[in-house]
Amino acid sequence: QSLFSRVNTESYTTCDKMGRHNFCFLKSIVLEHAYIRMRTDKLFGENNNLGILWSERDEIKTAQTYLESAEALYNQYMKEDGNPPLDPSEHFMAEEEKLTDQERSKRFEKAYTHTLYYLAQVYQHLEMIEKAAQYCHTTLKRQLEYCGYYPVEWALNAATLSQYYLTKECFMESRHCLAAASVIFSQAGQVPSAEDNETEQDQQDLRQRKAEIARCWIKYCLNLLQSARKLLEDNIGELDPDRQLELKAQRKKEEDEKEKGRKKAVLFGTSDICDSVLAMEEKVSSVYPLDFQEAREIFLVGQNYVQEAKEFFQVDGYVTDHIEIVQDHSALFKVLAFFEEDYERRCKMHKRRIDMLEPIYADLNPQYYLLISRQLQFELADTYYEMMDLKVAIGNRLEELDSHTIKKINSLAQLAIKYYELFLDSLRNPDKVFPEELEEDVLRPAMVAKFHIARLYGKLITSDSKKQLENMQTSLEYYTFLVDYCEKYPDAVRAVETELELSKEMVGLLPTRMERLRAKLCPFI
Amino acid sequence: MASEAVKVIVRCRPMNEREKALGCKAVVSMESARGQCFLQNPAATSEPPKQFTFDGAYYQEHSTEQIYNEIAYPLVEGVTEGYNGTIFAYGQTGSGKSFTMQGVVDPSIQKGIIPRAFEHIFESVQCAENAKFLVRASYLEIYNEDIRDLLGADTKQKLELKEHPEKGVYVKGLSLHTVHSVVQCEQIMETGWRNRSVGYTLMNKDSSRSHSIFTVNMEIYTVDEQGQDHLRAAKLNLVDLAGSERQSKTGATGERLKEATKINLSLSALGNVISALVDGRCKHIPYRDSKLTRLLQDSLGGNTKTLMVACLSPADNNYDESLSTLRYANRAKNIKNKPCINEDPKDALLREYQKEIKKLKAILAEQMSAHNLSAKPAPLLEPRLDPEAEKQLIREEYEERLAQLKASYEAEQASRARLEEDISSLRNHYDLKLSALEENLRKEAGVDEAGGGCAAQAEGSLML
Repeated sequence: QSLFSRVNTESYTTCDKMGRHNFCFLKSIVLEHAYIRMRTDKLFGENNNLGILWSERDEIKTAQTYLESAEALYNQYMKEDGNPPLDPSEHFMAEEEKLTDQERSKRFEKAYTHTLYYLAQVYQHLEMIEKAAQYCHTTLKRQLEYCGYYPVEWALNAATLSQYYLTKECFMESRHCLAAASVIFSQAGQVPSAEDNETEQDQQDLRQRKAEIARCWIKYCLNLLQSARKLLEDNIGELDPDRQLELKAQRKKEEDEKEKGRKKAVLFGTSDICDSVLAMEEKVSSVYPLDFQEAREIFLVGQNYVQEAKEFFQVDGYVTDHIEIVQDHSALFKVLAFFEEDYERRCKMHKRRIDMLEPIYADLNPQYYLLISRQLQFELADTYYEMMDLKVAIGNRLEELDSHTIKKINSLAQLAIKYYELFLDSLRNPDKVFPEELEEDVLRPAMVAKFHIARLYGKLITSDSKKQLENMQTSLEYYTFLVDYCEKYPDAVRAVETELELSKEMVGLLPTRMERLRAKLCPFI
Repeated sequence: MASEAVKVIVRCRPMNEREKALGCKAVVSMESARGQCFLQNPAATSEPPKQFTFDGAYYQEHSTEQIYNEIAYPLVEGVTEGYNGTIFAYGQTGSGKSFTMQGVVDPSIQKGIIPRAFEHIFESVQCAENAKFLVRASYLEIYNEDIRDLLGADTKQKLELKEHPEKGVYVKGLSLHTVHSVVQCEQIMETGWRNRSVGYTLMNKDSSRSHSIFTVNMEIYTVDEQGQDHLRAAKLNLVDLAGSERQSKTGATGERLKEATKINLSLSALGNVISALVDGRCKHIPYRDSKLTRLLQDSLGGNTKTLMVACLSPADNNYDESLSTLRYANRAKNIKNKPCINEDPKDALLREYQKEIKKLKAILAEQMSAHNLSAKPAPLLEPRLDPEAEKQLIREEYEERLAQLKASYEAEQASRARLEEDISSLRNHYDLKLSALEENLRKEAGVDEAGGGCAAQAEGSLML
């Protein structure tokens, strides 16, 4: 702290004496950096790229103070003067060796960029994440303008930052980062084709990076659609038309404000890439889609990026990555279905999900891909379940269910059951025994699977009363499992409260119902 | 415990001669019973020691034999049963990593974890009945994100990491060597180890920056009583993790490098800074090259057991390394296989459910009351009996129904409580109806009315 105030007093004194602001501010900034370098030198004996070590929070705070004052000084300096100050090394140079204005400016700006970069890290350590992100953003911007950069690296960093903005639902900023990432990446240009092995590797890397950026775009589209869904859905997960109208009206009002906001945002780009970035941005919306048409447009953009990503991340070689991309594709369909009003068309979208997930699942060796395998089982079961529900809803609108629809409903229900059962089987040990006590991470999915199976058996349609009784019996067994398990392991209740409640009710009601059915089958009077 | 798929233990070796000669003090202490490890800062003796808790804390008085039996045994046993297992060894040079992992021949209780694992495996192979085993070993090194085969013909060749839906994650071109005995395993390990060292000299590599993975692949072929054959495969990965020794320890020996947060001066780390800001699923962080994680990913989920052995030196001049190791191990504790299976908490579904239940209840209630309210008199085939006879009839029917109900319950309901409940509600009902009947009869005594309805009413109410 004292060093700083000394510096400041010195600066001002010198300024008064010499009346040359250049020197003062330069000295201050140099001293900030010198402080940092001093510590580095002392500890490491050379000024290389190793980190600065601070041991306690206090020292981080000190660093913060120094860096923030350097930042303030820079801003003040630029406002008041603007000409690049002398670089510290110049004090030791002969007149003719001194730097050109341009070079001086470059170094000065570079030093400032680093200040911002250090501040980003300091804020990160202080857990001021938003500020850290802001400073990362500015650092990236300055890299484009002053520092020189590696296009591929820059692009990946911008794409990563876009993902941060997604966590904050700042879609405009996210899109901007991604658009810039795509534009800058294309600057990496064509690597001249050669027989050299090294260059082949580079080409490979380039293609991979491109696919990675595509995946970031997929997440953008997916997140935008999912966030919109959250705003639009009612308490049973359907699109609420009132909310829709409300939001559309609200959006009209905000359009003006958005423009203002955009102008204030930290934009990338020197003038030459500005246009390209803008062009990229115009390909996809950054506002919440409020109806099917708007949703579909974003969906299509996402789908294109899926294809692009899959070109590189093929199954053979990149199983995990490939499957994640397909899961994203499935998620895109799922969220699009939310916006679709027509049940038949919705069903078709879910069918697309089945078609893309089933074959991949079938090829997976669960021994090596246990988690993914389970995820797919669950998703397939849920999707078939959803389709069955839709068919039932469609059927209910008709006068009566025809045999074709009944068959369809039953087959979908059976397939859902099949996949839930597969999931439950995956929990068994090598001797095929189902665990007595379920582990925390599979507890809820396992219980939900049991619950859904119970319900599905209740939903199977059959004219054969005996069969119906069997189904009800099976249904009852699964509900009972839930109730019994929670009794035995009361800690599990938290995980399945609602399902447990309903299961208890069903366990109470089903036997009576079955009794009646039985009575009908064999009347005793 | 099944749920703790990742176990972390620390092991501190005894002070060695050099340290004793330098007059080093011990700054590590342990409370083994509670798995606690304490580290005292020699530069700040007034400060309380830092405390860490693990699944096991072993010190000089504990032998490797003990450690193996308590912690490593179940893991290796699991491999022979078909589960994957991974043992990580972490510790900076001189921390006793090799002491714990390789061990010494004499005394035999200090034989290392690795030779013990080999013995364990081959013992199961010998003892197993009706089973054929195929045991193969591979040994690779990851240095600077390059993978090399330490048992290959050309150890300088970089190998590709790939994934196959059937085979899982694998290294293309990695050689597999069939082994039949503990001795063979050890020989192979030694060969690989030598190749590793040669590489360092020739290529100026830094040994502390490379990870190595020695894998024992087991294929177990059994035929059960029905003549069905089963093939199980499991892997035991022995991972030697790169230490994180400081590159340049310039300055006087004893210069304390306080490990805490690091500020990177180079913009090349901007990517790392940004990545750290992104939190949560549903985001994609562009590939940040961790071959080690990918290679072991099938060992970090579900049916795999993982053990991390963090090795320490007790001496005060290794305080910083020890602190770093303990912090690293601490972080490892929190690596849980957090499988996230997306299931939609579908409120819609639950709401529909509640509707269904309501409907069901209504139907049942309706049917109950329908019987109660059936105004239609019972067929007048039944002559009107006098009240006493009616009572008797009701009673008889009640007994009959009760017997039937009892029988059907016994057949289908395991729950005795429910049975009792139903019986008592049945009895209540009977009492109610009986008293209603009596009431009606009393009324009838006063007002002459068609009694058929009452009989039917009484009858009907017994049909639950």
